Amino acid sequence: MHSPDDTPEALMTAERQEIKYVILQTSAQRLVQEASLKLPRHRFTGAGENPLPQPWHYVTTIYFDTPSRDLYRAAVASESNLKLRAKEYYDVNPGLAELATDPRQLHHPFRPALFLEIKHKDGSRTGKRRVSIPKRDVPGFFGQGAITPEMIRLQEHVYGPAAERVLREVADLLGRYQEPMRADCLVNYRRLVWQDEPGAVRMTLDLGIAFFAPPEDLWQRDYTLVREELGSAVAVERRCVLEVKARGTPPAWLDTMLAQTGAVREGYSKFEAASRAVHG
Amino acid sequence: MAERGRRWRLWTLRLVTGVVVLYALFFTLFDDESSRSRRSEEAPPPPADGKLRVAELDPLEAHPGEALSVRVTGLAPDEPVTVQISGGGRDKEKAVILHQKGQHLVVQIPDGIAVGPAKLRVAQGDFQSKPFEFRIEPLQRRKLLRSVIGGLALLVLGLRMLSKGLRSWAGQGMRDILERLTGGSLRAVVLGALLGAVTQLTTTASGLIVGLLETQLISLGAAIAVLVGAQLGAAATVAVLPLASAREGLLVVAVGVAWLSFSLDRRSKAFGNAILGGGLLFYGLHLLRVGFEPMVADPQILPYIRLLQTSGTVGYLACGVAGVVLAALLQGPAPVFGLVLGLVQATGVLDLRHALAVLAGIGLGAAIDTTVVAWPFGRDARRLALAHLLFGGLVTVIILASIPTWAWLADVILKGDPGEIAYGKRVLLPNLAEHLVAGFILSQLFAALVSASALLWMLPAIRRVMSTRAEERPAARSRRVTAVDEGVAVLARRALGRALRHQRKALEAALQLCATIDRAHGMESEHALLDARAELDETLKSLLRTEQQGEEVAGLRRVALAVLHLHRSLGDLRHLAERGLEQNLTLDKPDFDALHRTHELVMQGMAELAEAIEHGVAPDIERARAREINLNARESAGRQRALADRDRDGDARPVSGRLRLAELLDAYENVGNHLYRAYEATTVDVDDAVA
Repeated sequence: MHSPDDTPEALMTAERQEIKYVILQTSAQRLVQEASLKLPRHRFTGAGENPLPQPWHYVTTIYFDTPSRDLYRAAVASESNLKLRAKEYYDVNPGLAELATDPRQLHHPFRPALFLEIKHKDGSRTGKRRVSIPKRDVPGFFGQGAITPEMIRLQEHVYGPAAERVLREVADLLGRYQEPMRADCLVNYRRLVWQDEPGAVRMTLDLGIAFFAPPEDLWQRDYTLVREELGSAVAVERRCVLEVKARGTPPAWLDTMLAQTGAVREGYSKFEAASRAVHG
Repeated sequence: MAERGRRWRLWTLRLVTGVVVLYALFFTLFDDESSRSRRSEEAPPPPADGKLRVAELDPLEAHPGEALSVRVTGLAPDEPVTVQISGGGRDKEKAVILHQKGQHLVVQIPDGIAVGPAKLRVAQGDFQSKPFEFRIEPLQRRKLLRSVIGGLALLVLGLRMLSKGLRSWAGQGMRDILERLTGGSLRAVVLGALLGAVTQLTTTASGLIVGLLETQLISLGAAIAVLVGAQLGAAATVAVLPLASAREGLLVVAVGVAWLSFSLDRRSKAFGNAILGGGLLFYGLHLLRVGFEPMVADPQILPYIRLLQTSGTVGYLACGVAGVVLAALLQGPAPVFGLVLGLVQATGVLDLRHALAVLAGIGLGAAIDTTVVAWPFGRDARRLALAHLLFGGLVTVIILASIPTWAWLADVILKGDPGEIAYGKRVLLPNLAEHLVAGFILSQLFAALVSASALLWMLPAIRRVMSTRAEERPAARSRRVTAVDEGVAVLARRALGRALRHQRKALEAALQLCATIDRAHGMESEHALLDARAELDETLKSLLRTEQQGEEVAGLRRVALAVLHLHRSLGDLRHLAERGLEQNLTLDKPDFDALHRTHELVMQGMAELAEAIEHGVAPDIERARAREINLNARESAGRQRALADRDRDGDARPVSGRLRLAELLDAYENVGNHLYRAYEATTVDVDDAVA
């Protein structure tokens, strides 16, 4: 049995250098070409993987905050902060558009649980904890810190016997705030991922970033939070966000590629941008 | 019940039409005039008293300078005869006797004679006949000009209606039949010969063939073969079939109108239009000939015709040129042959060889007619015109170069001296007519066969020349545009926008076709699609030829190709809409509303795509995808409804109606698929380069 900090998942989210860049959409294609020459494309191959060729990977992120927006203010004011977000990953198969009779048929898959990420930042080093929570249990967990057997079961394959402890730590972290956490804003984007075999370098390119206010029926839905189901975007980001995560020194070719594509290093925060877009 | 009654009336009308056609044929072959001619060849009975009398005069209304055929009784042989004509109550004038044989005279009315009532007297020695009254009419050139202009207008209108009617009538089945009939060169020639034999006019045949070529019912090679056959057919039957079809033009018009009045469906209406067009065409030709014949046969022009009698090569060439002009004016061999035959018989101004030389010009003259008819109809029609010009020119040259041979052959084959004069009402040189027919047919057949062989050898070169010329023009335009700094990409964007708008128009007309069962919408849709296709062809050519490279041009090539595929799906939808008409299938209101909602989705998508392409902006692909999925859902629902159990699901609509809607929704869904692909072609995904 792995300890919580030795799992592959933990290795992937272990403390490491994380640098963000923004690039223009017009440069995105070149970056994709260059990056694909250097690193293999990463594709999820576990249980429930998408068997169709050339899917587009999308992410919908739900950012949480208190009604007073404590997390947002802390993020804007200080380098050390907490980000609380839930992610839903889905694939779009545009090739199915000519066959589909419902937009949901393009999306793979529907998962009844969310990945909740608790991300804390200290300078340029980050730490992340990921737990999986059934969607219907989210309001109770955030409101009253309620932990259900289903939640514990979902964590066991990652954390083993420490599953309940991990969940409790997260609940305690949320309990430090005077007001209960709630869904604050949503971000949807398409993501391209490159990662080398040992997991030393990982690059993500987020395209078509759009910001949404939380839908009323967010936790009652029994279908994926796809872009088409989120209503009208309150704002869209015209640029793309490149994130490079590396343990140790980043590879030398990276600088060349970034220079060729005009990438600009910038501490871009999707949470801050989304919260600003939704609340002003 | 009402429909049954209409069908009964239509079959009655068809029966009546058949009777009318038979009557017309009978009338043509055994009409009164022919009978009169035969009767008039018999000599009138000699008078009991032996006095000098004018027994018969033809025509009874004549123009100054015209020739009159006069039958006399009581003439003594070998004594000089004089003829005097007084017109308008003025003094008598002596008329020139052109020919005399026995009791028959051919006299020329003096040119300056006054118009009005006239009297003709024949005198011999001290004897003089009583005056025979007839009438001198002025040659009304304005009236003739009106006939020419009106006839030309009716000819054009008739050709258009005939072409339109045939196009509407010709569905896929007709296309298959024509493909089979024109599948081999020999069959195409035979078909053309039948066409030429029936129409007797190369312009009519050309009009039909160009119409078929324009609608791509036959290939260029087959069209040329048919045209060669048409000329052969018209030439070979010229001496067999009388030239009366034009006179029955009004009868055919009446049949066409009656047919249209009782038409039940699109094909029947199209056939009625074709009949009406044919009738107008025939009557227009009749008017043209009414206008031309007096002018060409006017004895005032005869002195000029005598110029053609110049012996040797120059004379033959002059005759050939005259034949070319006459054939071009009179639209085919039949009228020219009739005219030349009448001329040589009535006046004797042309001998057999010179008459054959005039007729040699028919080939080139008919080809000029084809060129006039075909030139406005596009590249293939122009290729056909060029091929016909070559063919006609060769035929004319070959015959002109071998005139003595054909005259000699005719003399060998036929008995009798062509110069022998045998007087009758009209037939003055009967042997010459036979010799002329034989020489004409032999020369035309030989020259046509040789020319057709040469044409087959030259056909690839014609295609090459015409293709090169056609491709040079847009290239030149493109270079000019570049010179004014207006890029190929900008032009392509505009052209693609126009093509999409034409396609929208075609789609709208196709929907109206489904709703109204009005063939006009089908034609509108077809024409809009043709316009769109022309834009797309030019755009693709310019995009493929341009030296400008880069992502924009490459992207536009992808878009143009995708819009071309969209075009094909729209054509399929239009065909489906038309097939519904042929089966008399209509949509009830709920079905039409369902179709209309789908239609609106596609129309909206095409409009947005056109806008985005023209302005060079990326269209909303997400919205397009959602629209495409919506279309799929509608098609799926339509299919489910079509398959629904009538009793269980309470759908009381006829099965044919339900299937019709399902088919149309499927066609729209197919259009939607191609529209979505066109959207995809406008955007380049970041992964595309990697893929």
